[in-house]
Amino acid sequence: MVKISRKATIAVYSLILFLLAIYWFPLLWIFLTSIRTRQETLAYPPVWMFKPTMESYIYVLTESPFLLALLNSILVAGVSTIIVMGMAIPAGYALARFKFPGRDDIGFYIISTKMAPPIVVLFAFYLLFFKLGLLRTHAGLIILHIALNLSLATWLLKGFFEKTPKEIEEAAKVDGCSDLKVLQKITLPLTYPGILVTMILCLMFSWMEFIFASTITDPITRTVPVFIYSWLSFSQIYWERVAVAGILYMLPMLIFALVIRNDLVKGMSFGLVK
Amino acid sequence: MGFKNYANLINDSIFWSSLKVTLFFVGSCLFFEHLIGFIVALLLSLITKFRGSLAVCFVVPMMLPPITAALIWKLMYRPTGVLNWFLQIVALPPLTWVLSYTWVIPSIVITDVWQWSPFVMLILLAGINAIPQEIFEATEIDGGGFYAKVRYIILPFLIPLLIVSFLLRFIFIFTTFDIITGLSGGGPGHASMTLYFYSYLKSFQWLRVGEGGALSMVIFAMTFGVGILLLRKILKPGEK
Repeated sequence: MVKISRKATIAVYSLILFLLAIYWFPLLWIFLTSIRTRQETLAYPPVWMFKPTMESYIYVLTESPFLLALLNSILVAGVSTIIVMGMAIPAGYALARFKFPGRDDIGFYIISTKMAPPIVVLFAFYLLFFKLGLLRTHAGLIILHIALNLSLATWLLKGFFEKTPKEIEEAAKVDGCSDLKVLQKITLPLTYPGILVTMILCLMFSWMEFIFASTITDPITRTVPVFIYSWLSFSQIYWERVAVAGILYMLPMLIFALVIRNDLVKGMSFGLVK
Repeated sequence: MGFKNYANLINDSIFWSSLKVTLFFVGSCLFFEHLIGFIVALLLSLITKFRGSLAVCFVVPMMLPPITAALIWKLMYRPTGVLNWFLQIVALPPLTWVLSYTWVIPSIVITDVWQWSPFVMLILLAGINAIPQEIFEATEIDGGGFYAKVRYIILPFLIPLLIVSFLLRFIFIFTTFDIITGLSGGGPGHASMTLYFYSYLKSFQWLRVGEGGALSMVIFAMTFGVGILLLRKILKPGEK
């Protein structure tokens, strides 16, 4: 890092706080909307002094199927992320460490599939799932989210594995570790910031994914973003419900990010910086 | 059969207007996200206390589902919304934001930049953190000031990461769907119709699958072309 004087430090901190205030204004607005009544939300000029109400929270949590949608989201994001990591760790490791014919071509091919916009495959998947009976199921959406994240996860993990020093692994092999043991005992602990970052990215992309979920799910299997979208109708938008659901939906991710914040700041370099 | 669907595209005026909209949208999102992301990352790299926590504070917008982010901005963009109230306070004329032909794309850009510049910031911050301390000390001995450090050390160091964030953001911005759905639905008229949104509407709303498919192949060709170009730059020479 660049060292700066005491005076400059104070200036930098105030600048950061100022920018943060701008960034947080819409978040403040979501929060205020969630504890206002409809009339107060739509009032002009905006009402700043009002009696907070928990009505929208109570409505969303008890009367609307929000919790069902939340369970769907947890199931889909959780299962798809576990499967993605389970496939991407060995794949990334093999691409980073083993020598086999066409290795670089395969690595290149894997990441190049990320260039295809989701909509290109969506229609094909729709027809395929129709034949297989996977439309409107969790399994169908999980498969799509795996397809969405797997290539990026493999590619990111390959970068992290390439960065770990080969010598340590070789030393372990001399001591009689198998490839799998080396991966488990040496490489994974050494690269865990990278693995956490890859994992939170997969979780996040699945958590927020909208276009696949809105196309293939029904009111029973839909995830929260699709459910939130159902509050937007031709005649009106239920602003306060949207706000409540958004806040509740954001919290788990936020807590996760706070817990791993230091690894997040380390791991996001994707192993690309020497 | 054959290339009829592609021929129809060439004669489709909405296709050409949405191509223009897409280029403008993708270009300005990429530019502002990287500009703001870089500034915030640089500022955060200058401090030592609370760096991780402050970084996460900036990342909060990214944790919102884009559809909620879009709707909350739509609420603020209302003609009688809070943003116009701010404009009134500083004595500027109110805007119609997402309801106006000229302002709808800038409004969507603002929302997208608000939500995703923290992503770029995280990548760049991780990159700046990884620069070895000795290099800065060496520059100091040679009399290099703050500007020299940014220009000749930090920026060159960040180039591989800038290419990666450029690549990822390019693909995600090109395929923006929920923010446009929430804010404008492609309207007013076709003023915020991007290629991607247009192709979705064709395939899944109007069920003109052939034309939608042709359009999505055009999108594929564009993202693939740019993607390969950028990928070649970051992969090592031996790798392709």
